[in-house]
Amino acid sequence: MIHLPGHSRPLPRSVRWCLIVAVLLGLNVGRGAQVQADDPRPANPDATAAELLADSTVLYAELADPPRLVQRVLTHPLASKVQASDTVRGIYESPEVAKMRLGVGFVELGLGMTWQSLVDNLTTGGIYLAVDRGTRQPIIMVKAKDAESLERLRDRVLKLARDDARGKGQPDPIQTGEHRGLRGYKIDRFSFVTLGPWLVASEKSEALKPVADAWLDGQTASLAKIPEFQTARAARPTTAFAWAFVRLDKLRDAGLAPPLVKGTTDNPVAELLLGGIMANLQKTSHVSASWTLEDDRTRLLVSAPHDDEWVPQSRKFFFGPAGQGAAPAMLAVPGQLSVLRVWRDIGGMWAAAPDLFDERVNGELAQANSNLSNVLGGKDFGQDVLESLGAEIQVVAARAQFEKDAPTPAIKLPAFGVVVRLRDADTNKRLWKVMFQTLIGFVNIGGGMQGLPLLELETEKLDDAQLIMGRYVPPEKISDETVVGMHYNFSPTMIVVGDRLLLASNRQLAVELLKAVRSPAPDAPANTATPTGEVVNTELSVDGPTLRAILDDNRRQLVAQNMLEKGHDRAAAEAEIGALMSIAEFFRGVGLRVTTLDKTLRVSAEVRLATEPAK
Amino acid sequence: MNPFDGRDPREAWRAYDPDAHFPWDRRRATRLLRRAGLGPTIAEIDVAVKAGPSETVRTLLETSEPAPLVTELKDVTAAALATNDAKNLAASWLLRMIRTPAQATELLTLFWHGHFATSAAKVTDPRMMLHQHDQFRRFAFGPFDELTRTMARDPAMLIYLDSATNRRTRPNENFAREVMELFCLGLGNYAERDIQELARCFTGWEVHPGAFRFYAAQHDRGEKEFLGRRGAFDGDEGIRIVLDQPAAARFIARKLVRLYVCDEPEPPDAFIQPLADELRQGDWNLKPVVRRILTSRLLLTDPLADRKIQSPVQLAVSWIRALDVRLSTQQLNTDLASIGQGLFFPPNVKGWPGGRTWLNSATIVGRANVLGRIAREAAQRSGAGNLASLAGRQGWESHDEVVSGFASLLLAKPLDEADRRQARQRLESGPADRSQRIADMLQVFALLPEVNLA
Repeated sequence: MIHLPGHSRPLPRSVRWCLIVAVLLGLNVGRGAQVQADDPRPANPDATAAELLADSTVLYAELADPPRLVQRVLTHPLASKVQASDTVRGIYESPEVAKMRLGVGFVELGLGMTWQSLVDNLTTGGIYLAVDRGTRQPIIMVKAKDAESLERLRDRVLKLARDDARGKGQPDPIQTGEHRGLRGYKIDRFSFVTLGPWLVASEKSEALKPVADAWLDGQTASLAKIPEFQTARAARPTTAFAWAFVRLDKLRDAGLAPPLVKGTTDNPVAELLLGGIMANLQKTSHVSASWTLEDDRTRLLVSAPHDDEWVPQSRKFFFGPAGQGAAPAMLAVPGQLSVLRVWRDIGGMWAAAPDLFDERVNGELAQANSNLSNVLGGKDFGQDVLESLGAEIQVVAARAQFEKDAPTPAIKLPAFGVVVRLRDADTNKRLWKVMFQTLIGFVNIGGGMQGLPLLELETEKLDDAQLIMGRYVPPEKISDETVVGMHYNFSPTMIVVGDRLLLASNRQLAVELLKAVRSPAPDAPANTATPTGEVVNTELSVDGPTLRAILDDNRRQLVAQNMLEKGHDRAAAEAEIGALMSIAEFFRGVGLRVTTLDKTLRVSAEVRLATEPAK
Repeated sequence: MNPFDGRDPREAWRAYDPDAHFPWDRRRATRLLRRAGLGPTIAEIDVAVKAGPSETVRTLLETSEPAPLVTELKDVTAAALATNDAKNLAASWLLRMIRTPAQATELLTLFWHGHFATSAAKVTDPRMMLHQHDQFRRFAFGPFDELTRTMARDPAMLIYLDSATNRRTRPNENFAREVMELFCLGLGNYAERDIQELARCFTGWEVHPGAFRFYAAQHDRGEKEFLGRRGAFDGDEGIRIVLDQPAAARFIARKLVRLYVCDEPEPPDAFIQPLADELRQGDWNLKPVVRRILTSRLLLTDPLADRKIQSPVQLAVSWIRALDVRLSTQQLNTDLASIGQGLFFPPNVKGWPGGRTWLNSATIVGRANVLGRIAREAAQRSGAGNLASLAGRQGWESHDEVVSGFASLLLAKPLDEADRRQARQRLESGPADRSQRIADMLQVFALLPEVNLA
């Protein structure tokens, strides 16, 4: 335990760790308060982190301006709302956070400055993380405002640590060593050295020596000189707070990325969603990532060089011919919760299964194909059914609407639907109609055995479109006391219009999708909304307010579930669910995109923030 | 030697009157509340000590759930039903067991669930299981004849006993057999021929679709003869004839003695007959009989009463209520199923045999684990603070006070010196957090054989 001067009681463990962090944030440590009389001189005192790191660095990450980031967070339009929320206040006043706040307070008291000033002084030049292929040890580099600031802080913190050890009758906790006139230190598990305004730390002192040598002699083969690094760094958004660079080619060569070189997978769903990206990661030289924070969004953008020739034949289902497979224009329906639009040749993936999946999965797929073919009147599921589907696929989820006189289920699930083009529509629409009818039959057989009501098959003509649906027979009597089962969320519906196949979990969504297909909204995001030539392969968008509305529709259920999960009474459950909903108010939506442009693959993920209250 | 031998049954059932030798104190009040319900809270014990035994029993039998709680639990049950999963129904029932002040009613609801055992493993519609469950609560204190007639029409019961159809030409004997053997008379009080004839009374009693219906065309209107009676009886009359048998009242009375007093030894008929008489004189209402048992010297003073092993549900719920813990009843339901009592999933038509059958090498460890988990939850969160604050509110400051206080709250018998020492050591040497040390001490209790006694 550490004692503060004038305080007889030991400081709690949290304080001790805060002090160790302070040490790691830029101590220039020495025995007593003496300045080193003969500090070695650096070859380039203004070297950047990348110039100090060797070209064998395989991972590099930077937080270039932490004080600016702190300022950005504290002054963000959402900051005051977040701080005012009951949930955040509750967390802030919880025993665990109170202990941490106490620790921060002690550090501020001991160092004579606020934590913001500490961050300003110690991290002005940035915080950097790197891993070298040779040592395989992460090192942290922190650049302070200047060497003098570090020294002053060092003296204060060292005194605190030594006073504490002395008070407990323990030896000096700080060990020292030397390398070419530079003094290195060890406290707990961490070794560190100061190089002018730089603090460099690692769990292994051996990892520090190359950086120290580069400081003294200059680095002839530095990370900064690698062409890929320079190109990637130049493309970094100027507003990014954080940026990372990973040399996948070196990692693969060193055997440090086994999943990237594995030939087959055992997860067909993951392959469908990510297969093309895996193909890229198996060949690309590097990946870079940047993180930005703006008033209305925060975004992570990952980029990597890309060449369609890297994509093996078995994975052409992902990017399409010549990598030009583009997702369809985005549809918009009322109450839309999410839309996922992709280019995926599912039939192609099925055909390539022997090359993509391991033996177990291939066996299961073969069995599934055989079973399904039995109920398809001899048709092959893969060749006949999956290959009838075009590659432009859109999956939509929306807040469910219920007809006025229909039973409304106690649990209101979102409706979901799929829109896809059919190949050889005239032939294949009949196939799909028969399959749909067969599905309804199977659901009735299984459901009947479970005591569920049956689906009644109905057909309807909507101009040139034919609608087929199954509707659950409603209960004979419904009172206010009746708990309507979840199955009443579903009235599975299929519509074929032209060469489009629309499948939806309920009739209402199917009809809305039909309207959207016939008359796309003029302002709906489309492939051409992106910079010219950029191909949108995958896009997912989730709408925050609609998600909140769906949660609100099911609030009663969520409260009851909370009571069962946590043993709360209703008031406590309402408070907890209310807190979750209030946090959800901060989010306007989530987006994910996979695009290719100019021989670059980009994956971006963003969270859209609600800086104004939702209307 | 049967310890009932040579004892006067009238003396055993005489009302307990506190005296210097058997004072009405906290320990006795806790025992009464633990036997009458699913385990008392500290507040309930406090009230009982002040009120005295008669008033406590009166309150137990007359307490109903306050309207806000009824509404709250109804919503939770409806939400559980909406998931179409009987396990969620079980979780909602556990929540009720923990929260309800009507503990005596709830214990009897559980009792009837085991008596008229029906499993959701076969009755896949949770709505039917809930409907049956509601009848158990409605008729918790009887009249037992009406409860039996209700079960004869209950869709869940009929489906479970494969009596969803019962045709005139092929009477289904399953339900008739269980009425005699398991529900009303017990083995040795009927003949095989009686079952066959009673089965004819129930022909045309069916489930269609999902509800009871009397299919008149399939009912056997002919003359039946069983249990010494002859006539063109229907199902209701058949039940009346069965319940008219002297063995019926003794059968139910014996079960009530086992529920409230002791698992073993089996009391002789001389001890059961007074209760059987009271049951019949009260037209099958259970309240007078239950009152007599709960206020009796046999329950409140006799060491025979130590021969009662708590069911997994009673064990867990008693700790949860005593320690005022908030925890996941979904997880609790899973835990209880693993130690032999999954609500809505009795093992077979005989229900749970109870007594020593609750305990084997696996379930003893399982029970200790369940209690250990409850103790850990109590260390972190409970209704108004954690274990340390609970001890503080009770004025248990020293280690001895803490050990004694929690022991009297959670254990049916006083700690012996060795166990007390071990508990104290755990309290003294544990982590810095006092609540956590108490939880560690409770783990010692959880491993004691005495923890399983009611």
